[in-house]
Amino acid sequence: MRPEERRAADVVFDQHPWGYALLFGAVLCPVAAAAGAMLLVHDLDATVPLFWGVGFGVLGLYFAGRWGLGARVLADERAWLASLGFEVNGWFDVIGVEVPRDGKLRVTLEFRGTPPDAIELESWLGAVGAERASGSSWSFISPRIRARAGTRGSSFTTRYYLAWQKRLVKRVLIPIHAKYPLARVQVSAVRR
Amino acid sequence: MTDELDALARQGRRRLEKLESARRAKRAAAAPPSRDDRAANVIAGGSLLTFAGVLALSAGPALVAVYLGWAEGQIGLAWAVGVLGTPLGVFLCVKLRPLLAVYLLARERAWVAALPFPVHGWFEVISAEPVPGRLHATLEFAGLRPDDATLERLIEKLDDVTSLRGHALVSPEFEFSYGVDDPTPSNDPYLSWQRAVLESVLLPLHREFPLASARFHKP
Repeated sequence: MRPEERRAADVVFDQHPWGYALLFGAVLCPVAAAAGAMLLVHDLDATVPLFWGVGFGVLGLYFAGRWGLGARVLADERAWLASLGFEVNGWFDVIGVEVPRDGKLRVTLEFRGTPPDAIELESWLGAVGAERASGSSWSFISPRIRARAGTRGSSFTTRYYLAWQKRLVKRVLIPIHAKYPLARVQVSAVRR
Repeated sequence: MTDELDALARQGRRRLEKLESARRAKRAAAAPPSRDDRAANVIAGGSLLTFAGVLALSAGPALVAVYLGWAEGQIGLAWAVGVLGTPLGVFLCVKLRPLLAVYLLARERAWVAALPFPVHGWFEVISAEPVPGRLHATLEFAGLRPDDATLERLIEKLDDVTSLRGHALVSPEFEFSYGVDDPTPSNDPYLSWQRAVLESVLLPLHREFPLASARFHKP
């Protein structure tokens, strides 16, 4: 796996059912194990090491799963994109960047047949906050997407980019594609 | 599918309108304040009425809550007043202060117009861009001109730093800094000096040596 694929896979994994399952498991398993132990044996000296043991075990399982399942998860994502019926370019380039920073995405649409009215298209894309790029009717600029949850201390990630891209496809592009078939969608970072 | 696209278009239009209005609000906020706004804010900032209003609205609910809880023993009501009233009071402060400032500006205008001699430049000085500097007060007398000793005596009562130069009173250099540069400079010191000069020099002087006019200006 190339490094940019690995970075993309890590982000995709977090929003994949397996990622959710392992992350919830990492929280729930130690709590459930400790609660069960307390109910069964009423022994705090046994429960505390069990709690930490299970906790670190599941956390390790999460990282191991993310590492081991990365290729599968990426393949899943690719299959989903392929099943949409239109070509999506740049999806993994955006989320696999080495240094994620706050920024905007440019989305360029290419229709197979007659394109919809530009004004209508603008209002559809507005549902996810995208605005028409100046100079082109089929190019749209996303709202500013953040690259970390907080200001300091939180690490940079492209997970918000992926979330916005998914929202774009599920809420906007799939309904548009049903009426005005799309040929190609290009996603890229807006250069500043 | 068309229904879905129509709903999507409605959502999109709403969101784009919201974006546009947010952008407009941002532009309006970034625009420099109008001259009247600046003068009104300077006057409101130094006004006892503003101070009392802000204090009453922001601390009032808490005080009422303490009274209710302590003296009346109505703990539930006290919590409700404190928790709901304090944000409401702060909100009202934010919303009412600009209105009060406009009222105070009108009152100040009327007050300056009602002085026994014409005063020029009062509002020009406090509505200008707040930059450090000196202020001059140039006096014109209707008849007899007082000698310098009389003026000096009055100025000494005013403060130690205002000086006399010909027919003009010269203010100290206003710096706008407290160790580091003031991040929000205001014309407040200029207004204070103007008021002090008016109260302790011009009005007493006018009784003996009638003034034709007084003019405040930056050199």
